[in-house]
Amino acid sequence: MIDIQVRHLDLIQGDQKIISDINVEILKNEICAITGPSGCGKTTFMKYLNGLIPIKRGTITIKDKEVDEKNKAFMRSKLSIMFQEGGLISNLTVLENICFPLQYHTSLSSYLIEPWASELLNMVGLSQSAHALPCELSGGMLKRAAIARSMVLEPEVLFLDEPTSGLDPITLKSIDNLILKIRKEMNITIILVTHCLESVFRICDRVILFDPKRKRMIENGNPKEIVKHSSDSWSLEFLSY
Amino acid sequence: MKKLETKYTKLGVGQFSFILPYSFNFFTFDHYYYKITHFILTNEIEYLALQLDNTYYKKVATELIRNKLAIFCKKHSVRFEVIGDEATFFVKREFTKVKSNKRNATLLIDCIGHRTVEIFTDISTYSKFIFLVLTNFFTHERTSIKKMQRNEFCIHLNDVCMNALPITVLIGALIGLIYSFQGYQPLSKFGAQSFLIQSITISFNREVAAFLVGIILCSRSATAFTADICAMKANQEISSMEMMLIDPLKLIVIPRALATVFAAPILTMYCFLSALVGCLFMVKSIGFTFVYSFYQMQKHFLLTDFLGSMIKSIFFGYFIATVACYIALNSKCFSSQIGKFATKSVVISIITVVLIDGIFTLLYYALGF
Repeated sequence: MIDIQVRHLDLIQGDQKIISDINVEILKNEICAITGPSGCGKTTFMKYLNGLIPIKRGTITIKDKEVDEKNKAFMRSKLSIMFQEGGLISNLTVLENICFPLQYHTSLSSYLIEPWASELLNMVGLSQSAHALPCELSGGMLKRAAIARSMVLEPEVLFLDEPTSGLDPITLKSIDNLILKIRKEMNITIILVTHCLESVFRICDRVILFDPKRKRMIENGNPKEIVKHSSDSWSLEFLSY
Repeated sequence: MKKLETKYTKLGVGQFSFILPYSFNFFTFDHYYYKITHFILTNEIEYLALQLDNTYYKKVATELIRNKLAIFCKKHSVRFEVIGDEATFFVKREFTKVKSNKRNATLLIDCIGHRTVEIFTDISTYSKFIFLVLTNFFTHERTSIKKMQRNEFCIHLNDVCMNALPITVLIGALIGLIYSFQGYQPLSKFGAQSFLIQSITISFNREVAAFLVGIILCSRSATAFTADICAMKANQEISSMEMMLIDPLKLIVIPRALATVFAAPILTMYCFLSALVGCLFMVKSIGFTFVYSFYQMQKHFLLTDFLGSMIKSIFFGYFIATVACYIALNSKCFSSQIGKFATKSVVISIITVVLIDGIFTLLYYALGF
């Protein structure tokens, strides 16, 4: 089943066209990586998918609804983003941060919310740091907490912006395992914006590769298949690093 | 440091050549340039040759010293030449300034035009923002949101009001003391020192207390609000709130604005009282009794003036908070720019306070207060 469908989309930043004519179909429950060199438009593409940048040419359909101003509230309820910096509210503890969206959107009492939040913290392996402030956490723990917070409203599509940047190889692997665990337990589609090819080959079902020089999407498919069958030397060189 | 030497060879009367050494590069550029020019100035030189025989020269540095020396020699009427095996190796590069296509006058007009448009756009969006905040004050919210707003309001009220109370009282007392001391001397020249207490009571009640509190709030709370929200923006906290369909206006702006609106009149009252206390101590030292001073203060204290001052301070509070939040929310903020936006917030909120004060003065005058 197709979860996200992109048709003839142009990525435009300011007055400049970064990438033209993107056509992608992302299936339900897939882990898809958006990758490419720095400045190729990965984060911009993610913002387009979330409706944070208005579309000038092309269409994006998520869960059979077109991404536009009219369906903004619907989109926000179905999608969730973990930003690169985490975006945790600095004066709330990790547990309070996770409870925060639920407390805002529902009238549930804290004794009903907290078990769910604790379950999420358990899932990301942060139950020991529930009462710590974000500034007291390490880089990896901060990413885990941010992932837990983005999961709390039970999204159907989860976007992770550079979830493994600046992490050591062991923490990186644990974040990868966490992403796989989330997909398995919550049955959602996950889209990663990443530079880390190790993660791409380890966990992703699909990779979308942008080339800023040719201003187009070069690859779209299973990373291992691409390496085996692709005829494009640039993409082979990029993916084989 | 190793001494850097320049080699000169005498070619004839007033004719010299010099060789750039191996140590010549951009770090020693100024040293060698100074040495050569000093040599030209101290000796009566008619002809100077820059001898380039080696291949180790730093290309751009050599080219630049050659150009610079050529200009210097032309200025001092010295014939200058480049000789040697490598003389032709250095192709003259065009070091030209990147010229703007526009003339300066056009650029200035352009800048003024753009800035004016920017200011008017800002004013228009800010006007929309203040009404949006105002309507949100009276919008019915869910219990959960109200609870969050209440918590935030208490935190900010404590910060804006309770924590600012000592400094407000101190400044009020000192200004009251200074004001009465400064006023005593000119009034005593005309034998009108009995009007001192009257003038202080009326001026602080009508104007000075509210204005002082406005300035204190600008410098203390407006900067704190802007820095706080800018840091949240840089941390992507606001973006993630928006993505979770949480309205930053409700949780960030409304509690801060309400806290400042509540705090401003309270602080004004304390500022006024402390100024009177400061004045009392001053006038006691020049011979007025406490009883007489109290009587004078009570006689000239008008409730209409006091209420007018309270209303004015409520507006000050509202505009200070909204200006600070507006600037922070509409900035494309990186953590390094927080200071810049905090400064902008103070400047604009002080201007706003002065403008509102002017408007209220005219209004009260028209109403006959």
